[in-house]
Amino acid sequence: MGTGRDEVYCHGKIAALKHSIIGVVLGVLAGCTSQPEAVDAIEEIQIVKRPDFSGSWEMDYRSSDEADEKIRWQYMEALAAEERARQSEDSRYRSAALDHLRSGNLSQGIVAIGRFTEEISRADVLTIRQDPERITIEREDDYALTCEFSLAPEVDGPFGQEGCVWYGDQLIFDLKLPEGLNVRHTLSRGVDRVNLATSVYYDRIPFTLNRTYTPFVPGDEQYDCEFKVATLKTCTLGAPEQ
Amino acid sequence: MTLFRLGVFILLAGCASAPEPPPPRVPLDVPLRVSSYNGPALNISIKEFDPGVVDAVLMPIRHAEVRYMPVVLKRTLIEVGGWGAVRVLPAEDPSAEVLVLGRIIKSDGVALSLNVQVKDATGRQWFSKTYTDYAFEPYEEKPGIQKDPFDDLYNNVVNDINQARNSLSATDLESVFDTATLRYAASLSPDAFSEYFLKDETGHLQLIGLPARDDAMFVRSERIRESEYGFTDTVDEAYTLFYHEIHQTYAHWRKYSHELVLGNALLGVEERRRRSWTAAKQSFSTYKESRLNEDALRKMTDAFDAEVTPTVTSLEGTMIHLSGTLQSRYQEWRHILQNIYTAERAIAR
Repeated sequence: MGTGRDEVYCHGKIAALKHSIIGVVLGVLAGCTSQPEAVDAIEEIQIVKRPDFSGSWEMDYRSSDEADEKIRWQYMEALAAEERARQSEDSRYRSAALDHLRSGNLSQGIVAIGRFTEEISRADVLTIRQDPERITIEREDDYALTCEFSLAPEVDGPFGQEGCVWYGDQLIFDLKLPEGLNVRHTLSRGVDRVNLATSVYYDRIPFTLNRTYTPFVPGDEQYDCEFKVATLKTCTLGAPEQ
Repeated sequence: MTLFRLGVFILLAGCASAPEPPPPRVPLDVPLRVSSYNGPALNISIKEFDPGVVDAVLMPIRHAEVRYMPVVLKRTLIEVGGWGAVRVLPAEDPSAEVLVLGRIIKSDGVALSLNVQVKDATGRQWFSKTYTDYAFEPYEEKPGIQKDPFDDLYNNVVNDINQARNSLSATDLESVFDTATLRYAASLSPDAFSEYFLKDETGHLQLIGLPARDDAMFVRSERIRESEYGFTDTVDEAYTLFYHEIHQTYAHWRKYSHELVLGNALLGVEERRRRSWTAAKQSFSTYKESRLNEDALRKMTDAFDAEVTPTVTSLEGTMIHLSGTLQSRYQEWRHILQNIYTAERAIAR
């Protein structure tokens, strides 16, 4: 599923040119060298009408990436690229990218980063509230992604750099922690579905998982909890008011 | 200062790379001084704090803090004693004998900086001062159970408030009481009571007379004021309830923020970049916990702001229904009292 992140992440370039693995990996890593530990900045692209993501969404497992399969596939590709890099060891072609491959860091890193990406993109349910000023994406068992559209696309917070920006009809949330761990969530809208792509980038290794969500009406058996000053937390059975 | 505090202080001082060394970041160590004051007990109103300038990412936290911190100050004032009613209110209280205004300058779990302004009913400013405290020691495993990491700051503020009050003469204190009473009466009926004031060249209100104690209008305003106290106690209770509700969540948010902020300061960005994948995941985990607490705080603060459960209160046998936010209910209540006063006065004529 094209989400626009392919232009952003080195990983996307690999996917686009997978028929010539070694060339791609070299190209990718060379490209990465110029932006060694940071996700490329995204410039806001204005569109006339922003999509409305509001609603309750549940994960569609059939349309979403299967994490194990994707990790395995990328791991095998990385092993092959590393092997070719070792075989082509030639002092005339030394580069940071080749050294990175020869060290075996890529294959090991893909497994670790892939597992981590899976772990942080597990939310089965999204509850999205959106108005002209802001959007809040509540994710089951995870923190909410929030964006105030009028604020600067990226700010230095106490924990690192955080930001959100419209990129065409996609909404991108970026987090850059000082350790060099970058996490990007890209929200896009299809017909009767939304896609939340979670991309993790660390030590020149990218990994992305796409999760597709379809609309659902919260059932009668769901607990609806709200905080009130007078009664503290009150939970009732039934769907929240839309 | 403990050896740990000293060690962290030296370490942080070493991290500084600016041409001019930053001011020393020394944690306060200020015990609460029990006052020997035995004069009349003044009422204190603490207005919800001003959020100051804050990064957008911290705004949800700051919205909670502006309600939370006044209650911490209130609890410290009550602990030391010597005061009448201490109330937290959403707006300036026209009848306040002593009014405390606060502005949050910085709050990230490591540093807390507040500007506190205290003035009395005559307009006399007791002081306006910025207080800063640091918490370098690790937070408790289960934060919020024992003491506030910045209680030295609040002790310092309360000690200064007590000292300012103790320096007033008996005449000054009596003037504060009388001015507060008359200011309230004047807020209900400016034409009847404003003649008792004179504003001097410094902007202070000076009493130039007092109505007779059995003056019907004055007695009526006193009665209305008692009703207002009943309502402001309810408003104050809402703040206390909010404090208890967010206490644990806020303490956890502060603990995670402390870990992240102090971690950044101690290690520096370049050093952190060289750290391991495990360290990066740990940092993300701390970030996530911090954000989860922030989400919970945001929900609780939104609930406080948007509380629509009507308040039903009794005023001299009449049930009054108030709705809307706490702030609007407070304004509505004052408007009702003013109308009652005006109506009664018309009947008396």
